[in-house]
This record gives sequence, C-alpha cells and structure tokens, in this order.
Amino acid sequence: MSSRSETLLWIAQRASAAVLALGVVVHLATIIHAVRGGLSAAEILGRTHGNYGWFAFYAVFVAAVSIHAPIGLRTIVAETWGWRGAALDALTLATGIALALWGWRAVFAVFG
Amino acid sequence: MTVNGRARWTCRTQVASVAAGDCLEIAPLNNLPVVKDLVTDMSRFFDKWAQAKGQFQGARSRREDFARVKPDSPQRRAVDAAIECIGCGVCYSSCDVVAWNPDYLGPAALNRAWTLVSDVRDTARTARLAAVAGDAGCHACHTHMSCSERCPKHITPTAGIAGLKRAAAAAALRGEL
Amino acid sequence: MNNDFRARNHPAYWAFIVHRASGLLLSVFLPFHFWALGQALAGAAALDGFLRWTEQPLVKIAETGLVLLLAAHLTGGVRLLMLEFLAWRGWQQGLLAVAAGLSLAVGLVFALNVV
Repeated sequence: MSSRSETLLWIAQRASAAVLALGVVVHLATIIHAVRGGLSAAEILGRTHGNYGWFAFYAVFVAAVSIHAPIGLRTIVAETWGWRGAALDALTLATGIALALWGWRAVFAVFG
Repeated sequence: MTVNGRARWTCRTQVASVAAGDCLEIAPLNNLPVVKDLVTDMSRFFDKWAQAKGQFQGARSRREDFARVKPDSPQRRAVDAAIECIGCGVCYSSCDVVAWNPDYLGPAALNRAWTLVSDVRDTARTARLAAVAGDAGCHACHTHMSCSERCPKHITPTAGIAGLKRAAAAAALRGEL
Repeated sequence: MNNDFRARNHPAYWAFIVHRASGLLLSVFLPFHFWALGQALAGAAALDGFLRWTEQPLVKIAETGLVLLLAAHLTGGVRLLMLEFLAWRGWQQGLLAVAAGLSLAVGLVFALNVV
C-alpha cells in the first residue's frame, strides 16, 4: 500500500477513534443508567422507537465502528498471518461493510 | 548483546549490575541474523536506515554563510532529544514489530528520519515522509515502547515516530504525500 | 530468537496487550450484539425472549467483562491518542495508571448497577 493510502488509513482510524471515544462514554453512561432496575423489551422499545435523536447518534456510532474495527483487525491479521496486498484490503473492506449493514439494521430495529 | 533476555549496551554494563546471583545469560541481539556465537549481521539494520532516507540533504554550500538554527526552538529541541543515537541496534533488537513485520524500518531508522524531518535546514522532507509512511513505516509502531525502555542513550524513539505520524498525516491532508 | 517475557515485561507493553486483546474480543462480540438488537425487528416479544436469557448470572458476569473490555479499550485508546497527537511530555507515562484506574471504575459501576 502506498504511503498516502497507509497514512489516510491511519487518519481514518484515529478520527473514528475520537468519535467513538465520545460515543462510547455516552453509550456506557446510557446503558448503565438504563440497566438499573432490570430491562424489558417493552420498556426499552417504548423509549427508543421513533426517537430520531438517538437514531442519528447510533447511526453515526455504527459508521465510526465500521471504520475503526476493520482497520484494527487488518493490522492484527497482517502481523499474525502475514497477509498483504489485495487479499488483506478485500478482507478489511468486507468486514467494514458487514459491520455497517448489520449495525444499521440493529439501529433501525431499536430506534426506527 | 542480549543479557538475561534484554538487549543491552554491553561494553558499558557492569556484570555486577546484571548478574542474578552468580549467573548470567548472554545471547546475540534479537531480530538480526547470527554470523557466529554472539556476532550478528547488522547490514539490514543499516539498510533500513538508508531506506528511511536517514541522510541529511542540505541546500547550502561551503561558500555560503552558516544556517541559523535557534537552539531553543521546538523543532531543534526535538532534534536534540533524538540526535545522540549511536546505532547500537538495542532498540531494533527489542522491538517486537520488527520481529512480526520483517520489512518494518524499526525505531533507529525512524528516529533518525525524525531528526531530519525536524531539521529546518533539510530539503528532502517530502521524499523522506513518503519513505517512512508506507506499510512498514511509522504507522506500524504500536507504542510498545520497548525501544525507549532499552535505549542506552535514553532516547525515546516512540516520541519521534509519533512525530512522524503527525507529519505524514499533515502532509497527506495537504496533498503533498 | 524472539524477545521473551523478560524483554516485554514493562507497563507500556502490557497496555498494548490489553488494547489489542480487548479490541479483538470486542470485534468478535459486536456481530452478536447487532444480531441481538436486531431481534427487535421481530417485535418486543422476540427481544424479551433474548433479554430473559441474559438474566442468568453467567451472562451478567460476561456483560460486566464486556463493559470492562470496552472501558479498557477506550481509556487505552485515549492514552494512545494523547501519546501520538500531543508533543511528548513526562506525565504521559502516568496516563497508563489513569487509564487502568478509570476502566476498572467503570466496570465496577456497571457491575454494581446490574447485580
């Protein structure tokens, strides 16, 4: 991979990390608060369905994870099994797309 | 050499300070091919130095006046913190990424590149950033900091490599890379 | 010959191990998390079925573990961002202790709320 591409990947990973840092703090605080007193689907979905603010928040969250996780996994695969080049890039892209689609499906399920 | 599992500057290390009881384990430096016994072939170590464009490239000749470099400027301070490298190979030997990625330029070569990227007199900045920002370059550093732990001159190559990451990112965003 | 435990036994290296292991485990967990939440598409009853399953003590322990992993990866990541983006300073070494402490605190808060 060229220096330019490698550097852009690094920028994408760090930028998504910054977004996730904020997102995860909000997510953890929300979950810890919501979990008190037990969870029931009706309770949760009652609060989340149609809530477009949180829908947007988690849509961005999923996008950031779909960028951040595959780039991290790419490094692990390259260093553990020595993958390089097109095969590695294809795996990275596929993981990102899969996470994004599954994640946005979940966001729609909970907040749609 | 590797002493009790850790790379050391052995000609400056007292046996009394590293012997556990009356025992000592010595071995050749890691991450380098062994020639014989404790002797390693350091060609690759220095080849990577050249690959990282670790040579100064200036624009002035002897006929011109000296370049003026402020000793207390942030760039010069960065250079001074990293310039005393003796090329001993202890950092390279201690680095696990060198073991995992045979093409990884390594802490010494990248540290030297950093001193030149921060040198205001150097003219090869763009080419040097391109040389160090590939997939076996500065981005492969995972901040293990074994290099900085072991450096006998107390240089922190990790800091220099972080600087290279920032410089490469800025260059890429400006379209220079 | 590769570097062994004697060479690797220092704090910044442990921080790397924690960061890589937590990142890997979280990546493996994420698809399950998305699947579980996607159950809501089948209606509240399907999600309730899943939530009932999570009431088991072992699952609660696993959830606390996951929160710990997430907090560790987050605090370790913030430490890395500071090491890479801020000019190098001495106090950055202490960030490791802060990161570890914070992640344990978060894990504890979750455990106390969920138990």
